[in-house]
Amino acid sequence: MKLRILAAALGGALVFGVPGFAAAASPRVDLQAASIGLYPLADGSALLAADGHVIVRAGERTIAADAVRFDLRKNRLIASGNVRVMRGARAFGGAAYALDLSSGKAILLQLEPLPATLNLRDDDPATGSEAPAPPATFAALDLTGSRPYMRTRHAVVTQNANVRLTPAEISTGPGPYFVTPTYLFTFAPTNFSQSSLPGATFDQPYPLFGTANSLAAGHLRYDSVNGPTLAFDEHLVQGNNAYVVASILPLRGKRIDFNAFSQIAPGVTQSIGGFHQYGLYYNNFAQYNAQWTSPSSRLSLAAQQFDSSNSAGLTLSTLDHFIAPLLTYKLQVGYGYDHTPGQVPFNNDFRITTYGYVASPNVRLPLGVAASLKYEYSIVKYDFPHEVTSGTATLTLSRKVNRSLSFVGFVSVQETANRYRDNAAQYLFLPDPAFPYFAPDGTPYPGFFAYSGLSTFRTYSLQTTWRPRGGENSVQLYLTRSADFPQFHGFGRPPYYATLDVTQRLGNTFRLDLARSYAFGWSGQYFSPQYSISISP
Amino acid sequence: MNVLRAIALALVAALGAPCAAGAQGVASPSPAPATVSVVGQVLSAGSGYLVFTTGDALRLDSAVTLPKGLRLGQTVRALIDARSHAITSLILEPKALLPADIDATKIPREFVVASPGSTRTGALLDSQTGAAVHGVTVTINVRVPDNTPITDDVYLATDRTNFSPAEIRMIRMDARTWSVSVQIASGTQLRYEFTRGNFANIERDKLGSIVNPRTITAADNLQTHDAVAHWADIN
Repeated sequence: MKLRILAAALGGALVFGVPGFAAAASPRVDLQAASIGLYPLADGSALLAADGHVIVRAGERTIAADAVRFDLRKNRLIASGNVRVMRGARAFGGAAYALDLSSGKAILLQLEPLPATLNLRDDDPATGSEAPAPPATFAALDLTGSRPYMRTRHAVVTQNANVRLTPAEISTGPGPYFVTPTYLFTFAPTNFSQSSLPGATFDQPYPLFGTANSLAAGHLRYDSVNGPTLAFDEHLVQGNNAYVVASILPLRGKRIDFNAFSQIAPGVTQSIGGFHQYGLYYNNFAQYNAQWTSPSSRLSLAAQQFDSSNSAGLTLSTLDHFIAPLLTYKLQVGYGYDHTPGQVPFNNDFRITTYGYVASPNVRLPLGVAASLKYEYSIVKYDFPHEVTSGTATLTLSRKVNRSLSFVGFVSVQETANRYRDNAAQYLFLPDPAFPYFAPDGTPYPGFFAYSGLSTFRTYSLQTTWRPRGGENSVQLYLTRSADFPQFHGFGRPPYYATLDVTQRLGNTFRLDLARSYAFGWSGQYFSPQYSISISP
Repeated sequence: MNVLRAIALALVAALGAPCAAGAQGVASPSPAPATVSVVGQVLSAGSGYLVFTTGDALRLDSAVTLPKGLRLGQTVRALIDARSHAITSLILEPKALLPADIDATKIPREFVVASPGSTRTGALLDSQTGAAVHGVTVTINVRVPDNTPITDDVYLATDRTNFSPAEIRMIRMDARTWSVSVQIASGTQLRYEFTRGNFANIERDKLGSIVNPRTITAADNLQTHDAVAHWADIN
């Protein structure tokens, strides 16, 4: 199966072939100083502020100064105070020096005999022309009172891509700086937001290597299933048109993931992905999806394989259409194939799927209550005379009492009928008195299977949120009542569920979300508690 | 007699001149201020000059001692003697602007020292003074598609965690609207996307393409009203 995953990855790389991924090596700039701070800035740029015995090496050029400000996005630097520029055999000094690394243009400010600004060509004052400097030439932000995001004494900038700080001291908000041997800060104008890693409640990336369109990173992660663990991933990105991402969790929750996407033309996209899970669990999954979206509808081709089962389907769907001011609707029809080894009576089956929903907009009711209603219905008909129909009605009510207090509640009722047309093979699923179903606590339920053809799921949920003055800190209480049929002791969803969730900011870069949940009257226990912790910047 | 007449004429002239001027409605010129106060950011100091980040150099009075810890970009108030055009006093990081303060972009040109070839004639642009950084709360609101499963949560994924898909769980405000407030440093640029907890169910644009992360620059009480067009996992 590993071979199959590798083959899929290779095939994906060939199908998705993205020549733009190959980036030319960008020139590097080396900075050393008594202190260098990295500041993410308001205009989207990032700034390196170096102070005290600064030495900058950029190609053939070496600049010494008391202070340097390097705008990483604009690729411009300003050196100030006892500036000395050396390039080959040439050397000259000044009070300030502004250099555009992209164009190589430089402006030198000299104070003697009178203050003068020279436009330099190839850093040669002898051929430079004197002219007033454009007003923003030496513009520099006042960083007094602001803490750098990171500090170092040595930084290597790969232009338009990243800066490596060695060693790196990383801000923890109001607390002390956290020291790491090295850190790669990426400022490439590339969308590295895609990932193939499974979700986690905490994920702190640690970029290792990168270019303008690639990034390799380690991840310190926490999730409720695997606990703390490590992961590594590699991105290759071509703007918003294509990406390939691969990741591995080598320790806990061992798995390899692969994910690729490309936009072939506006509205036409394809994606391929999969994972190989090994260790405690052994599973393989792969999927391919192609979509063509027009202004009013979408055609999708999807194929997937999970271990030895596979399926494929073609779906034509409307987009969400709003008929003002009444409702939003969507309709969908599809044709598909399923292969499930060992399934009785056939391993292979074809199906026709229809789905639709209508939803009302939010309607204002008295007492500041807003209400909306949605109804979904789906029918799946198989060639083998078997069909599953499902209808779900959801009513949502919300009320914002004031800036701090709000309520949201919903009632959802789902009816599902799973039946065999014309009594075909119904006998296979009728209860066998000799082999009753046993609940987890050992209680026999002779008639349980008789009800499996029809089920009802009711959910009543109320969420209360206290968010003082609409700020970041909040307290939320969720109460959920599930009334399902069939449901009995130890089976299905817990009948009562309560969660208290507290979010508190504990510093400039530390936000804690603590949740304590209880399931009541389930699995033979009066209640069973569960914690969840989420930490974010 | 001539002497007396001359004295009398001089007296009349001395007494009558102000009256005549007042009768014509012409105000007497106010005395020029002894010092001019300029606030700007320091580019460099030395060789008897202080240079602002505008590139304008002003002469330092020989009695002025440069304050210790003067940094590139630091804001200073320079008091300039109106007669000598030299800076007589420097104050680091003035707490507030005074009515008499002149921004360094509007400094009278006669105070600026430059060689003829470097002398500016036109007006300068506004200065690019960096505002003091402080923590602000921004609120991100998002409307999700109607076919979003009612029991799913919506998450905010930001560039602060390299877009971890379950970074911050948002708060449901009604059937389709979710909200979250985040405290970040003012002026910081935040890039973000929405997910339902995993990259398999990240948002897509209406045509199914990758969404370019939204970008905001943090400011006090900033509120966004975003909309998810489509989820990657729902047709």
